[in-house]
Amino acid sequence: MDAIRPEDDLTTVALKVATTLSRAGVSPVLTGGSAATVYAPEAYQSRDLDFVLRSAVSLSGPEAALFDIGFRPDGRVYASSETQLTVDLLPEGDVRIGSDQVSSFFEMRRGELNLTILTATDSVRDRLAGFFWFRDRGSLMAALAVARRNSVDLDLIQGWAESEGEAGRYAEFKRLLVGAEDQRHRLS
Amino acid sequence: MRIGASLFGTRRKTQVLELLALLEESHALELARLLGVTAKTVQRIVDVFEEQGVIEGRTVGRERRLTFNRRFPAMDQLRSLLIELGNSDTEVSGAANSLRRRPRGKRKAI
Repeated sequence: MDAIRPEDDLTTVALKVATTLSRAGVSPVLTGGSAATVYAPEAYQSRDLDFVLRSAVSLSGPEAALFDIGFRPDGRVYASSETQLTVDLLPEGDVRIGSDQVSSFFEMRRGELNLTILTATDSVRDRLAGFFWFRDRGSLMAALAVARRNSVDLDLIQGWAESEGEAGRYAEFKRLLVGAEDQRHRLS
Repeated sequence: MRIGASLFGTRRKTQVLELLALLEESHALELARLLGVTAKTVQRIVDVFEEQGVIEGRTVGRERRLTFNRRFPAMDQLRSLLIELGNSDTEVSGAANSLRRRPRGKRKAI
């Protein structure tokens, strides 16, 4: 069993929780702000681990597994005395970003621990969705942080944004991304 | 002072327009809270730009929601300029980025 320790960072807690859930027979995918934090930990800090369960039919199995590593139900989420991070299980079956169903993920491994997570490109799309549909600029900043620190497929993101009718807001994202790159080159 | 900081009369007037451009829709109290000024200050600025047809307000419940007036000539270009200026003003962009607008899951801590 992989006990949660107070010194564990978000990625480590996510690895331990995901491995525990996988052993309980569900297929968790880390999504949302917590996935962005894995890709850009210095720039963006989430406090929730949002796991979409691709194969769960009932939450009782995953709940029992979380109980074993110290997470207890706290409202709709699960909390532990060992970490400030909470776990949210989303038994949605599909991982969707807008109208796109996501079927390929990044597999992170650390020793015996495994974490299935949105790819960096999909993490950018996931955060941009919050900017597109809720005008949430914190989501835009998270998308920029992930895009600046990782290799992402901007053509794919642009195509998706245009198909969602969000070419204008994508253009602002791209301007900020390119502007930051230009500034970095000028300083180097 | 940043280049263009007082382009629309005063720094505060420019900041109100920049912040509204970044947020797309807001209300005077929210703009005032984010900029750390009084609602009266923002309301005075809003009144000026509303009178000139740059901003328009519509009442939703007890709030007067503010947006840019789509009928204003060159509105797209004006908003683009204000977004660029707003993104380059750390005070304004920081204020806009601090406002959470995504809904949180039920019973999750704010």
